[in-house]
Amino acid sequence: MVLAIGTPSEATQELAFNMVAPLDEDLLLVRRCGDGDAAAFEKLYHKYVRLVYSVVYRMVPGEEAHDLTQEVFIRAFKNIRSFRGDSSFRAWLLRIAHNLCCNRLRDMKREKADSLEEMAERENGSYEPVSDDDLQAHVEREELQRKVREVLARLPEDYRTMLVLRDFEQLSYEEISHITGLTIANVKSRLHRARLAFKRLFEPYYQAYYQGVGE
Amino acid sequence: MRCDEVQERLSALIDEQLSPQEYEQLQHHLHTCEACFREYQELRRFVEFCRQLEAPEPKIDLWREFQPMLAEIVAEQKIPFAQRLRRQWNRLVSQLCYGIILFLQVVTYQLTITLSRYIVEPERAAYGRPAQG
Repeated sequence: MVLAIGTPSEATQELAFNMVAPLDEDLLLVRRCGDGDAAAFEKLYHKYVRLVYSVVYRMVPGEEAHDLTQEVFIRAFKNIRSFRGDSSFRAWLLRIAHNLCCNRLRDMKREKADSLEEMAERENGSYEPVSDDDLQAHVEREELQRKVREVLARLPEDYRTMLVLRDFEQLSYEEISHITGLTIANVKSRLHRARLAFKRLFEPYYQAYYQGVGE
Repeated sequence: MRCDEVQERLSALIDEQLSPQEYEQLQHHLHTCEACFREYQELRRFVEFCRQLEAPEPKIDLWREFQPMLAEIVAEQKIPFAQRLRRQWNRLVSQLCYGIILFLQVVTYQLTITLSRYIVEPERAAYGRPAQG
């Protein structure tokens, strides 16, 4: 197919639209939220609730994840007009989640609660009604999630943040920098140290898990 | 590049965050240093493990729980600003009153204990003395 210079093909136009559209969609929804459109916020909620829950669940042990997730979205809705679009909506939302998690962890330390590790160990996985065929796999998955969470709870808070945002949720360095307020250079160095610390602590469970599944 | 310099950059290599020059230097070192290459492989293995791990799922329907909260906030935001301010002021005043009442109760209790040392205790001591005459 011969293209005239300066005229993108239909495929290129569609590709460009798909790359740009997700960001535009969030911005449009945010603007509608700012005008009081709750239905627009519902779309954002459904789009990001699993991500926020996943981050909060791994950052704060115990049974706080559900309440904290709701609190993140309450604050996001109340402050939606303060979102200026200088970062992705996802990064802005996770910044709220990160700040709430840090506050909650500080309160837990102040309350002289059990160590975070003990709370993570005590937490029991729940068994959802699954078929017998899936039960074994489900139990193994729950156990693995629990072990990962236990090990994360043993790490310093900033290491945990780096791992959760980069390795578990695959956010970019720029987004992590915006969420945590650190420079990208600091993000890089902390992430590396976090990975080494996690590897050292998780190695025994990792070996056992993969021996169990016969890797 | 020395081994310690290479190992500091392994995460950046995994995340493709190196400059072309650094990338070339690291690749050259990893081809020649078995220890660093092993370290790189192990670190990469853990990073891949974390990336492929399933995200935890909420155990309840979060939207069903959130919907009434959102409705309440929307309803509150529709209240005129002056009325909302008055409502918040009333809430603040009632909380302040509760605080003052609680404070007064604590002060009263403390005063009771302190005064009992000077009034009740001497009387008890007096009863304890043998009768005169």
